[in-house]
Amino acid sequence: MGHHLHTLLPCCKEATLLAEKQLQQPLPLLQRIGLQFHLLYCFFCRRYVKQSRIIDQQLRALQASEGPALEESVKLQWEEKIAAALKK
Amino acid sequence: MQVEDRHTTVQKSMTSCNPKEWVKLYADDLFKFACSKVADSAQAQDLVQDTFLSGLQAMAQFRGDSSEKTWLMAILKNKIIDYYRKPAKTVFPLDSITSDSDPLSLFFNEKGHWRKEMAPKAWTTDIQDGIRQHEFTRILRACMDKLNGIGKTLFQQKFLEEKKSADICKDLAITPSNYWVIIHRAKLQLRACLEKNWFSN
Ligand SMILES: [Zn+2]
Repeated sequence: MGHHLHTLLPCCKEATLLAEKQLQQPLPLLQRIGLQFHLLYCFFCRRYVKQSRIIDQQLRALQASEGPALEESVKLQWEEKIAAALKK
Repeated sequence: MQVEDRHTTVQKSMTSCNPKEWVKLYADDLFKFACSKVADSAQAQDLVQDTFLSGLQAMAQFRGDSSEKTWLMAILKNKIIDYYRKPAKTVFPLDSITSDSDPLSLFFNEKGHWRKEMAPKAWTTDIQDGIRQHEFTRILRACMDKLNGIGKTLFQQKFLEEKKSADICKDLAITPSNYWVIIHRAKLQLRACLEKNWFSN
């Protein structure tokens, strides 16, 4: 995709990629201008940027709050395995 | 002399290592850590189980100068490194990203514009209030599970670990440009999934 990135006139596909980068790190000047220019006239991509930022925040909150839980049956299995190994 | 040596080691490990309590004390934390490092939870489970079994075999080497938990965690970290070293695992199905058929064609037309049916809709529901936040989190998790392995792994490392993209690339042996392609695609899929299941009603 990168090989046909028209820096100053990005299409939506390119603009959303640039937006993802910008959520994490500053963009080089030309890419930044290209993205800003695209966002001026494209309200779908403006929406995308806004929503993508919300998703990032929610992902951070999700990961901070909890991971997937370990099932009790799995734990029981492990305890049995360990007990069996100790008997050897 | 050798016999005596062995005897003391066993003595020491008997006092400081208590495998019967391992699952109760450490399984959750080890599993949580493993989940943050590998894509699917079944894989994380296998790694934790291997850790316990290796721990049993290596019990004699446990010196008690770190806590039991730290020691088990170190074993787990090595298991994770090994897991990524296995050639079959390090090579992610990147061909699916670089292949002729553009996976993004689902979202964008030939000119690179949003397809009408996939273009972002306005999100009208407010997530911020308590019950809705709970429901949203449930959907977010379900949508995360639908992502393919590599996209999910990147998201987990990026957000849970707050890892720098350069480190993620190094660990997973992917190029920076692939990193962005994967993040971009995963985010598009995740956004579409959220919109379909939550925001559109
Ligand atoms: Zn656009």
